[in-house]
Amino acid sequence: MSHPSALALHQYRLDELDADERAAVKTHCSTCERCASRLGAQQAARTAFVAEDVPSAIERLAKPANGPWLQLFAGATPLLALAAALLLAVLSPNDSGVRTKGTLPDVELWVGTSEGPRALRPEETLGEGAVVQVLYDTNGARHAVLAGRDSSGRVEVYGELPVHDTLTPSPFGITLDASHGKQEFYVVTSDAPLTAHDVEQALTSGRADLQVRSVAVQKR
Amino acid sequence: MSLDAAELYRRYGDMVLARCRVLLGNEADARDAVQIVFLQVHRNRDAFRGDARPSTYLWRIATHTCLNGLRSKRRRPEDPVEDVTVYGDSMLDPVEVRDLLDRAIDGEDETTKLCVIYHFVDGMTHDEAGEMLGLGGAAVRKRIAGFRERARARLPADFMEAV
Repeated sequence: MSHPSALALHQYRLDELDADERAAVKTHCSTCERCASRLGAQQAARTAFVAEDVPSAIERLAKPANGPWLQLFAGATPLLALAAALLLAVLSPNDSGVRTKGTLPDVELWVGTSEGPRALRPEETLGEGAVVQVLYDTNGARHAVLAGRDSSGRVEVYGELPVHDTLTPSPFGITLDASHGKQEFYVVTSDAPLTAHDVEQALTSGRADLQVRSVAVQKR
Repeated sequence: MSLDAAELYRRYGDMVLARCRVLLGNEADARDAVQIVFLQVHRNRDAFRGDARPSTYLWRIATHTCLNGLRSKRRRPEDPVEDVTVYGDSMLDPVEVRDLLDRAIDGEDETTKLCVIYHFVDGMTHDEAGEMLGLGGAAVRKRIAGFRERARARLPADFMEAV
């Protein structure tokens, strides 16, 4: 083969090439001093890069508190935003408090990988930093909210979800923190607008007029 | 399908940085461009269709970002050219890259500029460059040939021989 392009070398290093492409680059680099040097330079640059801090402007993109979820709440009433903040602090619900009624929304959990997002596999566990995305549909309901709960019982209300009648990814991914154990995600739907208080009730004591469906992942 | 920009940065940030260093020839500008790339990815995170590798998607965005950066900040002849060869990404040496980007592609249309960058700077084949642009390899070959003709008329012969 001719010299691999700069992008092909990066993709080789990142293990993103097909088997045939990978074999071709490997064979070429084993006989081409120039390309072996190019590859070595990329690897050295990678080593230097991982030792650097992630720029704060980019780091913030991963955190829901500074992301679109907050923007969604910013567009709601101040009371809703306040209620959401309180909910983070005071809730300690248990599973038995969750009730469901009516047509349930469908919910799936996907995980980001180097090959692109894929559905979470049965029994799969995820570590800190893994990025998950909830896929959901609202089955005809007019309002939906996404919430989460970790193994300590702490509940987070991430925000409103756009209404979709087909399985749709939530507007952005959620990065898992360092806590261990079960992490649940809830899609709460209703025909009436939902407040954080409604979500709190749905997850603690149950609300006959709300539909709740959850999906969970085990954090290691 | 949606992309998490911060997660992508951790995996691909060095690749994008290397790409921006080569095209911009300046460390500070390259680091600014990297942030712009990932902020663009974040803003358009739902637009990723998943029919390309994330690395290819990012390479494309980084290239457009750098081209825009070059347009808005015209280099002066006295601007120093930093030694970006240590990053090993280009098939050309830094001076050749600068000549190509600062002089040779001036006046070319956007698609031809991208053909030239993918082919000469990145070392892609016509087919590979075509895949980046949604063109056939023959269309890229034709644009490269046209570029060579026009550049030959306005640049030293030894430069065109070098590329």
